[in-house]
Amino acid sequence: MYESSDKLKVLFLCHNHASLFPGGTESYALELYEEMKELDDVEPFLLARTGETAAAKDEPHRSGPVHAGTPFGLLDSDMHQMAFRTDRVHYDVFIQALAEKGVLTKQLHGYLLAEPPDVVHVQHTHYFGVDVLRAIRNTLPDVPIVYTLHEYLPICHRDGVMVRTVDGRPCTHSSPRRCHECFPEHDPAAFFLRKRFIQSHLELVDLFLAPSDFLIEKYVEWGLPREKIQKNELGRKPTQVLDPRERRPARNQLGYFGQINPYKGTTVLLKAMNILAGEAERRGPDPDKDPYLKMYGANLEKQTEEFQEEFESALDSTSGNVGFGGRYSERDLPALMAEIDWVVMPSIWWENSPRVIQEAFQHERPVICSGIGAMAEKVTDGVNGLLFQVGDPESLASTIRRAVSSQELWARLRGGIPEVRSISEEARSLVELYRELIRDKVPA
Amino acid sequence: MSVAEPTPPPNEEAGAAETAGPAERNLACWFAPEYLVVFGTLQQPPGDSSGVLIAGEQSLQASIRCMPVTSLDDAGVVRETSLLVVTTEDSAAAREHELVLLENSLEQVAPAHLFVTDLAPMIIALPDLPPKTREAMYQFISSAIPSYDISQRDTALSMRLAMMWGNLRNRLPVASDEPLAPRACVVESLLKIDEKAFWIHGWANDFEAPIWRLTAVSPEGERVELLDRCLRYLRPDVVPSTVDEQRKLGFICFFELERPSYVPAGWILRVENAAGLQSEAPIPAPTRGTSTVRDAIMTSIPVEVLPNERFMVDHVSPAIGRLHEQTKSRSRIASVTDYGELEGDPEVSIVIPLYQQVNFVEHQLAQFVSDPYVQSNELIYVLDSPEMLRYVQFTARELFRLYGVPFRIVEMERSVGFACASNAGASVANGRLLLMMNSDILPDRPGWLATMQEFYDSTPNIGALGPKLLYEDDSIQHAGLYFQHPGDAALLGSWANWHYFKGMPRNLPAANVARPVPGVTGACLMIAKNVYEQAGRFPEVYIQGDHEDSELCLRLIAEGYENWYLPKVELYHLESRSYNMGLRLMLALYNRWLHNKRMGGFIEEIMLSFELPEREGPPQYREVGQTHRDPRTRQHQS
Repeated sequence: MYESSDKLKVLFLCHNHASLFPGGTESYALELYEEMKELDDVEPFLLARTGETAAAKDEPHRSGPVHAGTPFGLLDSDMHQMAFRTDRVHYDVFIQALAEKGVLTKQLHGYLLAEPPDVVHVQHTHYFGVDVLRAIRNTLPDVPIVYTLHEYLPICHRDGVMVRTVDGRPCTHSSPRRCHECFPEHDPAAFFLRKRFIQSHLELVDLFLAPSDFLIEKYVEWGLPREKIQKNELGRKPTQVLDPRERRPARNQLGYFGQINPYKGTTVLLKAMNILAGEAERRGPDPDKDPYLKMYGANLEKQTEEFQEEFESALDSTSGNVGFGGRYSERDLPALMAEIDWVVMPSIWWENSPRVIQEAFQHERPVICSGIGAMAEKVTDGVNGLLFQVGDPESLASTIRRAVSSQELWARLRGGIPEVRSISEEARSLVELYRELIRDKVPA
Repeated sequence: MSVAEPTPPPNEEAGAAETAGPAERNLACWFAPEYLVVFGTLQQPPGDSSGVLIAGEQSLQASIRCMPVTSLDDAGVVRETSLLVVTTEDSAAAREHELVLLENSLEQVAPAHLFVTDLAPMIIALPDLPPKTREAMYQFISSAIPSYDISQRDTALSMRLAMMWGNLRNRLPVASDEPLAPRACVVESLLKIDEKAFWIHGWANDFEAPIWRLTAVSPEGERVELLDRCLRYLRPDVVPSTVDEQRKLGFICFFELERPSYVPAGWILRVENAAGLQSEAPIPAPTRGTSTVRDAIMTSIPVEVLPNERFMVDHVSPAIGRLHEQTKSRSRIASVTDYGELEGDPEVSIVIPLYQQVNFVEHQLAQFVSDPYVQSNELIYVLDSPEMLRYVQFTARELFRLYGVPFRIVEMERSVGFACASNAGASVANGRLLLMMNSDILPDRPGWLATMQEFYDSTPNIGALGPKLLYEDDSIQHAGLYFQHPGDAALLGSWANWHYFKGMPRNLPAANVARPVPGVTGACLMIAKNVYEQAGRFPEVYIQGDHEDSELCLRLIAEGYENWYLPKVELYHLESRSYNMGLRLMLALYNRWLHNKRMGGFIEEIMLSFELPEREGPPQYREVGQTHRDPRTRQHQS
């Protein structure tokens, strides 16, 4: 494995591995790694933190390799993909750091020295601790550290979604006082400390990458220097372009793809469908023209009981215009997309760079989404999709009404869908970026 | 005295002790190595006499004190017995043998054979006696054994006295714990300050007749009258004011025993009303532990009775003062450990006591790591929570490895409070300047230490230097401190410490002027080490970190120095909110009271010469309608 080469050694750090936990960031990190493996002049490594997660605490068998006396292990036969186990109980979710620093200052330190990378690209510091950046910097003083910002976790204690607990509305900005309002159990001073602590480590990053302008603005407002952040659209693996659904009297088939959790706005969507069902009832139902929604999504069982009940009762109260398909895999996506005309994304948080929008665009399906944040940035109202008032079922219902009423509108929006950046293109441009950073880092 | 058939003297001949029944034997029990208590039918003149105690081969000089005890047995037969306390020299031989007591008197009394037993057989052998006689017997024993410092001897004496008292004492009807019943009394707690000093509080009520006497009785039977010394106060939590808004049921006081008490269980409170009716209430076993007791005393004080100078002087001050002295006497440094080494000699030693919230260390290091000047100076953490030592040792190594900022950990043997811990840290400091700092201080930006040092070194006659401190919302926490007389509304009507411009925006022009101030906060205070020593260091009289900074600053002024506020250095002070607020309030009141006792006159003298915030425009911290005793105000009006 460790034969020396002239290739550019790139180390990716990610908070989990897609084979254990198929989250968006994990999948992206793995795809990027695989893409770089295809390049002649790059030798990528992927170090995935493994171990229990809050989301999968009941699935210890899916927590990666466990060996006594070392946090390291291999995930599959690929010698360049390693697992780095940390213990969730030692992780302080609030300040984002491990209590036990030895895994960073000794074990990770040893790993970095054994095969020093030329660049470290951090996809996430969760469960490593934000101070992993300092451990890397201590060990490799001259190696550029690149950090992709995937959501708002450094800014927001609420799973990084920036949605206020007080009213469920998207949060414009953090402050010790506002954060304390959301989490009364932590006093304002604690939030001040949290921010100072996280920022003290983020200072060590040479370049941040952000997948949307919106995300850049949020982080600049929060205190990251603008000159250190660059926009970097996340790339996607190419997929077949689907033909439109066989011509029907109306473009009335809607699809929801994504997690089922409180931030995704699924109850807003179900309420909107309920309004539409009521209208159809009064008018006399017409399956060819009335909107119909197919929902695909996983992890409902991992949500709070309260949310599960809310979701299920909302689902039950829709009458016949919603079908729930449960979990889907990426493999099935083209087949599922083939059956629908529109993709709906009703998230009540800002989002960062939604994969679902990229997937919809790859399959040439216009998107109906909340008119805020990264969604409003990626989808242009009236060009490649339709925006509605976030969190407002009435607004969503009338947007859907408008969408299904006109074949022409659908065709026009479909025509406006932009090309989605390919991951191979992204990989090549990242390698260029790494080389630039390395050149800049060389001491004069 | 009519005597039916006198029992034959059991000690007529050697060996009589074996043949006679236990009641007839002279039972003897060593209460302490030189005190022998004897009960039996032996003939002794009442009062004091002297004699010889024969123990095997040894003859020991003995002084004898005798109390005749007359009783009736079951058959109504009168029995003459004696209770003796024999004082002799401490001899190992005496405890191993049967003893014979010879009295030196003109009348030749036959030698008395004593059968040495434990205390229990003697207690069993005691005849039925009226309560008054029994208590008199106990008083006789305890007064014949004079007070001495048992802690250096055998605490078994205390145990034996307590056992004797427990068996001889009169058991009164138990007081009710229902406040509206007659003769109700509850002792809420007894706090042990030391072997002789205690703090007690509870409530007592008798609707039938006023309470005449409240007597605390120790397990060893010592009595202390409380009613004339305790503070009585309203207890609306016991009897709602809707039922009775006048009656002061509560009692609270500090009291002292003449002799030390070692036995924890068996305290009682005797209550007597004006009609002579008596009852007793159990007293819970005393709470021990210096800081536990101190905190319990503080939280037991009814704030509504303050200000009350007598109560502070007679009760709070001796109790708290004694506890504080105990703490201080144990405030030694247990160990000093260095993590990393400094290159060269430090100019400044930053001294930071750590109390409970040790996690702030990492937060500070995460900031100090980006300030090379801080790293080239000495960073001393004083661990004032010894129970966290293992955790701190473990994390310190890890934190040094991660942050690379060298620091030193000074471990205190016991938790001693901010002033003692700071002074201990300063005692091992190598810097020419000291920076006394709290652990919840974080710099706003690098460069602060160098700027402070520069200012300190370039300001002639400077005593203490304090920077601008901010809250997490960027309002001012500290811009120098001054003293204000809050007037009649204050609980202890006296000078209080105030911070200039507290809560104002950090960029307030008036707060951005460097100037001399009466004092600066000890949360972040720079001072030359020799000046600090000259002014007597932080006074170690205040509890848990309060007012030692202002007293030090006042002493600096008295020595002719000036204290300065420096606004161009800005740090955050995240005042910890984890304290028990009731306790915090009482500690603050006590400390303020003490501060006024020590420094009040001087404050009055110097405050005339300082700028006050109200002259500079920001809001005035004044209650509407408040009477100002403040001399500055008088000056202002004239």
